[in-house]
Amino acid sequence: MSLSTSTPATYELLVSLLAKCPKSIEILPGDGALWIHSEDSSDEATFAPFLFLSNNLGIPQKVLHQAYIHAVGVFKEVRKLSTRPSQEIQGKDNPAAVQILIGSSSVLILANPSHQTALNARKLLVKKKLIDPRTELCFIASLLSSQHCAKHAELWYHRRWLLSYEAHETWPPARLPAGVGETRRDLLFASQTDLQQELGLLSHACEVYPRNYFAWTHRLSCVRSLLSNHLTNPSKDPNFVVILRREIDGIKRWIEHHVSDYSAVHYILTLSRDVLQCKSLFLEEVIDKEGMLAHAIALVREYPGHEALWLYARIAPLIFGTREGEQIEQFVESFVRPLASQNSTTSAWDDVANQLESSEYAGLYLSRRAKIDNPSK
Amino acid sequence: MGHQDALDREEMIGFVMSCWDDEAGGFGAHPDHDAHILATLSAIQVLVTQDALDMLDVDRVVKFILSLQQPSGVFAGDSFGEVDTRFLYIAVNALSLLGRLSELDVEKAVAYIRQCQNFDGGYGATAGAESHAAQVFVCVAALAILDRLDVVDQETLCWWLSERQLPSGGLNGRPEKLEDVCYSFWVLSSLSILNKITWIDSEKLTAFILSAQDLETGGIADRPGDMVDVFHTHFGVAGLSLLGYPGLVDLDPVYCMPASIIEAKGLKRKWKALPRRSE
Repeated sequence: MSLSTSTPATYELLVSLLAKCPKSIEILPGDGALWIHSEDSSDEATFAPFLFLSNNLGIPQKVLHQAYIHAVGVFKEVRKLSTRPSQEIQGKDNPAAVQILIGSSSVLILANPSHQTALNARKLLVKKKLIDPRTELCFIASLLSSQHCAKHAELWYHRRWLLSYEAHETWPPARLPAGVGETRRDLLFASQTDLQQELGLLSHACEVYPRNYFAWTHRLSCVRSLLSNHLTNPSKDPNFVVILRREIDGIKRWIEHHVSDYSAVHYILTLSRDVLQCKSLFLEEVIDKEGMLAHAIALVREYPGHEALWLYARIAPLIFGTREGEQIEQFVESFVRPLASQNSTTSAWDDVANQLESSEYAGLYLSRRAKIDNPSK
Repeated sequence: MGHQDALDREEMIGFVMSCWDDEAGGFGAHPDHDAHILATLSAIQVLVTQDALDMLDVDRVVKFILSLQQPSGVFAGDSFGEVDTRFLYIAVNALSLLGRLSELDVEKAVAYIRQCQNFDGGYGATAGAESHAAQVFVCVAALAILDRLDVVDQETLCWWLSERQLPSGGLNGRPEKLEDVCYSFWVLSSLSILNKITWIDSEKLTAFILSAQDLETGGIADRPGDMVDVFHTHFGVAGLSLLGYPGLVDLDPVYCMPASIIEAKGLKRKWKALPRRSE
């Protein structure tokens, strides 16, 4: 079916589906011929060669490729008409040209999420108030639901720009915490629901693309902004401590289910360090109660073949160590030393192909620790 | 590889100049694309390699780059302001190649890199971001150009870098990721700048890179059996050069350009690769 549909018509259909802000987007192998039958008169056939069910969009890879090539030409032509930064903005853009620009850039970004120029064109349209930032956030959320897009730095950059832009547009300057600006890129969430939605989006992006570097970095930006907001005005948001506890608990559970995801480990350790550096006894207590060193040790005992967990156990003492010396000693003597002295070929845990053996991780832990404790050696 | 005439010089320079964004004063990735600091460095590197810097409006490019430094010391990629230590390295590298490093606020740039250091000794894309071998390269190489390697926790960082080597001999960029040929450059360049290239098993790494080569087309893939591409071919060859592989010219790990060009410009920093083998 897809082969008989003309490229411009397919392209237009894709543009209209992307404009619906799909709940999820998935790139499917092939050209869609496997599931599309020309005699089919159901609703599903209306959207052929795409699958569009309950606002979930499936796009055959070959069809996307054809639509992309078409979009390149459309984008190039329409861009000559409007949106160059130096051009006069409000009211002078031809509405039809704006719609073509929005449509073609949406296909370019879906196919090539690092297409900086297409993303810039949309930022300019937001600045010109020709795209509502909320609609754009929704479009980017649709893209980030797809494994193909979820890891791309440029999409997360674009999202952060939108959140920061929206904060500056909606919040009067007096309500912005000190230090908020173009470079600080603090993100402000108007409501708890907005924040929870952002964290939900992030969790999904980290699930579809494991160790998702830019998603975890974005998560840290979000929670750091809350922290700095709280420090500027502690009485304003009494829920902060509840959110912080829920966040740390949630990520601890995440690590338990994703034992090779060091990005999550780095996130929780960095967030804890940030909170401890605030020198607030109250916040310190929140972190202490989470018992992260014990968490790291328990996980290493359970899954000693995972480098991410050994690093968790290696780095946690650098953050919480002075208060937890006894616990570390007990771990080293009862578990790490015996494991390190095992012959790796007889190890009971060498289940991870392509990775160092758990006894080697134990050996590394001991040698690194010896250096940290006795830097002169 | 000693075949600098394999591509037509005039055509290459012509393409680079067709990517000039006159409104911004920088280069885009392709004709009609917006200027970005990433493509701007690539353009400068190509022009330097082809000895064609006279084509460039150096003052305008320097102005474009300097306009992107933020109050924290880091650089943005373009006027929209997203920051990354990659952009900082690019600014330092480009200004250095153009002989205009003296116009940079070095203290602020170094201060930002210091903020990016993690407990494992590595560096990330922004302050607080996870250590990543490619981000380690950009931070270490920028510090090398600025002659400020004293701020690096060298031993902790080199442990972390050496732990990137997997039993296959290949290197990964972060814990528990798959090995990938491109990290041969990101990791080796940092180790080479810090004079610790012997901390990884060079024979096993050489064998891994060679095993990712497609012997029919000649290119190198991310790992054995995958489709080859220019990106991995470039970084595979760069890694082999640092490993002393026979028949290759020396690569400067700080600038990722032929060492002779950097030396001729008087920009060589201290670094140590493995000695070139004769066969």
